[in-house]
Amino acid sequence: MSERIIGRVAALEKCPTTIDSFCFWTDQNTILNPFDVVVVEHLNESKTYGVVEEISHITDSDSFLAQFISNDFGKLDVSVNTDRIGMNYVSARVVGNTKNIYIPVQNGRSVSLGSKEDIQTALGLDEIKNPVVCGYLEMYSGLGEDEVDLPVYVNSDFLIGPEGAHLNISGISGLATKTSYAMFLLNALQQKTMADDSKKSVAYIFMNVKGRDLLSIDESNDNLGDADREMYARMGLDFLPFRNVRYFYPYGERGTVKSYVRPDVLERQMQSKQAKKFKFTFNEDNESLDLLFSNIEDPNQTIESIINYIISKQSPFDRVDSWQSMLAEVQNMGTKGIDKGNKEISVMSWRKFKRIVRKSVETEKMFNDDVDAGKGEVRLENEIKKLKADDVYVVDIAKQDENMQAFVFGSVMQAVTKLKLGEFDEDMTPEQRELVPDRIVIFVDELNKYAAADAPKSSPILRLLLDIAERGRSLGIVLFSAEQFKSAIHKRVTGNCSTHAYGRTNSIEVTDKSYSFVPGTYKNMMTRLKQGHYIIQNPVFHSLLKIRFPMPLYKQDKGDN
Amino acid sequence: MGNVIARLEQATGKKCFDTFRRSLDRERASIVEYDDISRQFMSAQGETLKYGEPRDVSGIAKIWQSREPAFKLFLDGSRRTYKIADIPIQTQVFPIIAGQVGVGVCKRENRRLSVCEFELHTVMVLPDKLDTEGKNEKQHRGFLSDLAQKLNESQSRFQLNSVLLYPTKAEDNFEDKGIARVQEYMIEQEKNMVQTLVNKNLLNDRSWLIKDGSLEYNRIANKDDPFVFNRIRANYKRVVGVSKSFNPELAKLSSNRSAAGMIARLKPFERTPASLYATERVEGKFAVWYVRLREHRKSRGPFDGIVKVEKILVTAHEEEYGLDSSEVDNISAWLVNERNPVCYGKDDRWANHLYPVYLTETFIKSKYRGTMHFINLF
Repeated sequence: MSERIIGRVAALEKCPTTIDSFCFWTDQNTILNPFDVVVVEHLNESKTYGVVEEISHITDSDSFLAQFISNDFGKLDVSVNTDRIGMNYVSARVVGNTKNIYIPVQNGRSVSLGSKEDIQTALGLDEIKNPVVCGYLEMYSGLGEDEVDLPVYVNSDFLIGPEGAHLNISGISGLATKTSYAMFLLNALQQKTMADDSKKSVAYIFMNVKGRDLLSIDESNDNLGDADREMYARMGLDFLPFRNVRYFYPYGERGTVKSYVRPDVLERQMQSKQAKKFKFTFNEDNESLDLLFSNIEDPNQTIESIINYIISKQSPFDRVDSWQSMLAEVQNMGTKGIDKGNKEISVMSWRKFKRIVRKSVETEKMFNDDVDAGKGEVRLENEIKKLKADDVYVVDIAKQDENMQAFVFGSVMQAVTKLKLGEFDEDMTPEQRELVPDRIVIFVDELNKYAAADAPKSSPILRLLLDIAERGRSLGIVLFSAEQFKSAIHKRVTGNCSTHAYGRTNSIEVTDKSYSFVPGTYKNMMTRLKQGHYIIQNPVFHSLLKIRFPMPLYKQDKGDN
Repeated sequence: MGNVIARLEQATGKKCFDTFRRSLDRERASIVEYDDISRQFMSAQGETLKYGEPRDVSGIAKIWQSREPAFKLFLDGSRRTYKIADIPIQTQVFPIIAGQVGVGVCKRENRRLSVCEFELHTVMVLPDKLDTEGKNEKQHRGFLSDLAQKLNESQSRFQLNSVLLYPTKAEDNFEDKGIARVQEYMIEQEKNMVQTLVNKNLLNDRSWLIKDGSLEYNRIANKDDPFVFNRIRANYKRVVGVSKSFNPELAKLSSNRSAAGMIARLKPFERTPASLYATERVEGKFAVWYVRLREHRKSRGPFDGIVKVEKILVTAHEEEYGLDSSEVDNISAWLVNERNPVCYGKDDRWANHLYPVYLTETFIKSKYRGTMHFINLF
């Protein structure tokens, strides 16, 4: 525990201390880091807490010329007997006072490192209700015995509702380990909710969008190092992968699956009834047809008209009961001279519709009207209806093209929304209704594909996502999303996220307006963050926090596809 | 009128005039002249070897670069003077001068400077006519310490360290005399500081002291004075006085010709031969020489970049034969190695300043009370 004095407050005419900030000087050899907490003596024996934002080193030299002259007018091999006098001054942002005294801290007051308790109070970590661990904080690194490390907890009410909901993770590919962080957090959440029966029930749906990332999350990670194990132990987490996991693979050709999953893994999962192959049938899933057109501009809403035409079973679609017959009728509608009943939709529009829908429905074998439960085949919507507390569904869409990924993801969101809105209640028994989880967390990577800032306004997926972002907190649908660049995501989606995690990003990204609240030093730090390090923002924390997290507890299959 | 002046009026029975209180330092920047012309050269040769020409010490300086620098301590003293009131005595009116005297020593360890010793004194200077009963310095001392005690008892805002008297001859400018007395007090404190360093055994072969300015201390007639030359001479074995400014015309060669030309033509890292001299008002003998720290072409004038170096001759051998030439070379080389960094942009005298001395000076100045605050203490 450290309370070592490291400097004194300096209130200058040109740089006064304010309610929000203050500066203090330290010896030039005192190591401090951005995000470190410092404690200042204040009035009435209170303590004011500050978080280090910027550290500057100055000497008494007032010009570069003086430096040049000090080297014998520009010689490179000059050695000096006396180092130029220099010191560091540190800008800190006020994050709290123990007695709620917010007048500026006074000149000359001592500034010290904080104890563990000080740090917890300063950052708002001391009175976290419903705590879920969200990382590990290391403070005063490089200061030897003064170093402090402690687990950071977030109030789950602010993570998955009802106080606040949705998490957004941003960071560049490969280095930011977005999926790993989301999985770490979700694992902690599952461990907590499973250990605490009295709390709300939570279920999880993960979209696997890349390789085999999430296709073995129920298997233990044998490569977990000692340091990671120690970190997990200190955070109070068991070395357990996800439990109650079920995998859903898109149906492929001739009974196979369209997935990167390793055959042995699939076989094991199928044998243990953990894995299912999902299909979409025309009769039950035709309402999702619009999702096939998520990324297609439809300024005159002709596509929408066609979809409505089909869904409302207007002639000749009243006779259609399969994907094939639908395609045949669409083909028919696109043929000149046929009496189409509805003259408002032109032949050209039908043809355009046909081109798009045919490409998907004919090539993707998951559009299949024959669902044989005996062969492990299911409809996703039916399975989502069965979702209960602590269940983890992994829906694999990694091997599908962008349009199909959007279609499946959209279908999942649609089904979850219907479930939470009670639209399936008629088909369910009271017991089944009881089992519907209070909260359903949906995790999806590459959010930019579905909720891009420049996505067509008519995009049904965007509509669904906006609905979840804005109403999800009260409905009990929570979105954990990840993307490379937060600035590329629709503002209404990110704006509704209560928690943000920033991994390593690039310097162009941090110049975006959405990062304007982040101090300059932190922005630069964002471009240098190491793997496994994140900057977290949550309404409960008094400041942005730089945390780290251990390797995931589940087996990560990063092999070549 | 503050407590101090009121108490002074009470103690002396004289009613002071309310004067516009002000700092005297700017209006009288160079009131005290030290480099007087009555310097008497004992010999042109102030060192053991006779050199007719300047000597290049860059080679020696280079050798010393790889070793621990010998100069570890840096002493500077400064004072600030203020006029705080006027006091009538008989038909005349005399100024009352107050002063802040700061003397500090910084020490260098691992290339970083820190404070070693520091004294900040507050003094008050009164006309000597105020103590008409005191016939000699000893009697004055009794009067002054008694008065200082009374003035200190009258208030608790500051400690008056000393009350001093300035001489009042009709033709003198009394303010100048008052300031000169503060200056003398400062020099006494500097000597005191050297004594403290010696007592603490801080001055030795590996730890020399640079004193900012001249070592020419006025001759003290009173044999009882603690600073009488014979008592303090031994303290100065490891002390070098380095002056930034000097009057080159006062430097003489053996034939009483001016040495200014030789000094001005010094090349970087060269030193003049050391001279041995004494003056009327200063006791003891000195070796004096000049060292060029920087190239001439980058300076404003021919004497920029040159420092005057003084060393008191401590032993009888030195007094007779001068300072050992190798010691002169070494001291010159050490000074050459002190040339960087510079306080360019901060002090107009940067070319002649030694950075550690500059820092010591800056430190002392930072400790002074502000003018408005100080003059209202009285």
